[in-house]
Amino acid sequence: MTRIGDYAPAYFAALLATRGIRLESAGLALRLWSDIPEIADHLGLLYADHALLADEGVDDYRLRIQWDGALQRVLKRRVAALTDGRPFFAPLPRNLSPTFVEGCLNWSVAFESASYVIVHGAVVERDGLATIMPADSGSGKSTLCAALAHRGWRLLSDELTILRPADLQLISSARPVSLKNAAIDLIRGFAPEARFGPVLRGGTKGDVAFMRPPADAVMRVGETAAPAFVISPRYQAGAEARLTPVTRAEAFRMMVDGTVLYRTSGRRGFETACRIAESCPAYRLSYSRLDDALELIGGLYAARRAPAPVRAAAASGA
Amino acid sequence: MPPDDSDARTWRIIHPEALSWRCWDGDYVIFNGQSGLTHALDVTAGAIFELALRGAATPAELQARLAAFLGPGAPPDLRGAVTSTLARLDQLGLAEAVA
Amino acid sequence: MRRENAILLAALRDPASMTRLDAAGWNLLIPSARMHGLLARLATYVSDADALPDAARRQFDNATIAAAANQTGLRFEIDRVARALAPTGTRIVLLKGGAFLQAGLPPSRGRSSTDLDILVPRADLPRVEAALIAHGWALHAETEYDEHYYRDWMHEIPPMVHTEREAALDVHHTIFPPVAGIRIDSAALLADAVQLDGGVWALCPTDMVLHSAVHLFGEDITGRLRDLLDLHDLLTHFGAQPGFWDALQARARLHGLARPLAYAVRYSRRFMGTAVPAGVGDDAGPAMDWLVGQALLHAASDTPGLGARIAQRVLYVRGHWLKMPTGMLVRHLWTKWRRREEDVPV
Repeated sequence: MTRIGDYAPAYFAALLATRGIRLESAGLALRLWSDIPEIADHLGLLYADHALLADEGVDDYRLRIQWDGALQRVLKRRVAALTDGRPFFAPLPRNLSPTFVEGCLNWSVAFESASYVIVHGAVVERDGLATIMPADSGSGKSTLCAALAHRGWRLLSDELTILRPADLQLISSARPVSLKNAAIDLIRGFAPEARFGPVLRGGTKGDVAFMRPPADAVMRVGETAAPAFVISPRYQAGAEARLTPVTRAEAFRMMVDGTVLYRTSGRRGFETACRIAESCPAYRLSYSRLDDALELIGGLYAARRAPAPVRAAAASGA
Repeated sequence: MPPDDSDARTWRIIHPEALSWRCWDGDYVIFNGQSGLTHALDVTAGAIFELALRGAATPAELQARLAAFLGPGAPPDLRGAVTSTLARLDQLGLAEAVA
Repeated sequence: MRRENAILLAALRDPASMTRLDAAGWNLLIPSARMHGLLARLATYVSDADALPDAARRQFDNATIAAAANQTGLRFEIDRVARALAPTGTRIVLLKGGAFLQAGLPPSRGRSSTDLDILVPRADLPRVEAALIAHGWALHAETEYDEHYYRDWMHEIPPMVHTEREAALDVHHTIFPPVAGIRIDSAALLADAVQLDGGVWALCPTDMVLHSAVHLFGEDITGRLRDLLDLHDLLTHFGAQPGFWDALQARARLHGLARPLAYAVRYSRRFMGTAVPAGVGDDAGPAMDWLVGQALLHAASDTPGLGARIAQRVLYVRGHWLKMPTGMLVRHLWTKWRRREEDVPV
């Protein structure tokens, strides 16, 4: 099995610009072409541990990241991303183009309604127990996720909670974690061993940098995880860390509100949210210091190792 | 036509076989396979929904079922609760008046 | 013709050809079909899913689930509209996707619709609008200019959307404005409509075909292969009925739709191999053939050729010309272009 990091950078860039590469993510086969140097650098550094698929095969999506038109091939300032030959996003300045890789990969997986129920949120795992963190941008979930990933939790994703409805297992993608503005330096300080891509400046939400997923998380990408906790994080400057239990109805609401393409998922999306709400204790977490947040989460895991009381059965229909 | 206090029509839940629902400590969540939509009902509306599932009924009958269901601790304006819940279920496509 | 277009058309005309595709062929077919919204349709032709390559099966399944969810929603909207309008006594004629679905017609296989279109008598428009608003629909004109365009120029209610369900509803009183020799007889559309289940109606077969034809060839045809497929399905389904083709041509003359019908028949036969009796639909020249081929199919390539871009611009302007005199055309297009520039795509 060849990993991206096995290639010399110049060779990898040439490969990416000619034949393209095939990556697997969440069971999908994704083909990428790009002649943009920043894209080759992004993949080469942040996906170094990821394995490549064989060159031949049928692709779920074919993604081309290239200069945005004939003039840009000369100016080399603006980049377009095409899926199925069509732009899915608006073109971006060259330095921001790595976000296309993450955005396109996210959307490719998001449309997998047949295989999965997908919730917008982060997932980490430890001792066979996974924590789902459903949350929007600005909640600090990616920051928290990056911190957990360097303190003994295995990273599955900072963005996409991928649930397999049949057995309620979580699927890992172990892809780069996106961090914004102050969170970049915060995690650099928190986890000096973490590797980062360049800081991408000038985006609509400020500065963005991608953190390389820990090698162990990537090696174990084929390992699923069982959901154990649902924690909705909210960063609040100056707040004392607090974990507040929520009702099953609220947990259900967190899952449904975060489910991508919920209408398409139909009854399966509903039942999945119900089963998570019924089987996983759920909480709101407000915090300002990462260490405090991690301590609270760690406390949940420690308590879990003690036997839990049996919950009364819920009334239900159909 | 939405119900009012003089409504004597029989109401029923539409296509109950297409519904999946849960009740957790009085919070109801309902998925309607006919619409693909998901709804949340509070304890009173949810109870009326659940009672209507047991069989078509007039608002007066539902009020009686509800009173029996809730017992001595029942809130005062049960008729109002039944009327407004039926109106809401009508809007959502979960219930209809048949006669 | 570009290879991905040839493969897609072959798959639609002869689904068994999919079993002979290699990986390269699938890698042309899947993006092309997805671009045209035809993955779910192709999926309906597959009898042995296990024989498909994994990625093809996944993408077919995704599209099938999405189409099913879309159809569930559409069926529900039809039910809700019928209930809301029942007290008005108006005749509700479903158009396009809603009609195909409710009537169980071949074009409904694997189909997704973005909105529900209905046709009602023009005199009933005010009370229809009032009843819809009373049941939770709201007008969705983005600007005053749009509302003026709809009410005063097109004589329509602006598009409506249900405030809670966010479902779009377009209420029409005719199926095409009176320009370029087209004179739709709305009274005939309504009088000859066919009743369906659920308190709603559909256009009669000839009107349904003609609507499909003018909906395609009276508008911008860029990338609208799916609509051509609808036409092919309808012509094939109804064409088997005795007397249909004569009735179709007579009906076209009634509505002033002989030209769009001729294009529709010609291009349905050319691209989809529709069985058409001799002498029907020979009314276009080779230049038009080239334009139509380029525009209809162009969207499916990684780098649209210069030819496709030219064709697209010409036909886009042409579509609008059929709807409005030249004076209005420039202002309207300018407004649309200005608004598009201000849009920030997600």
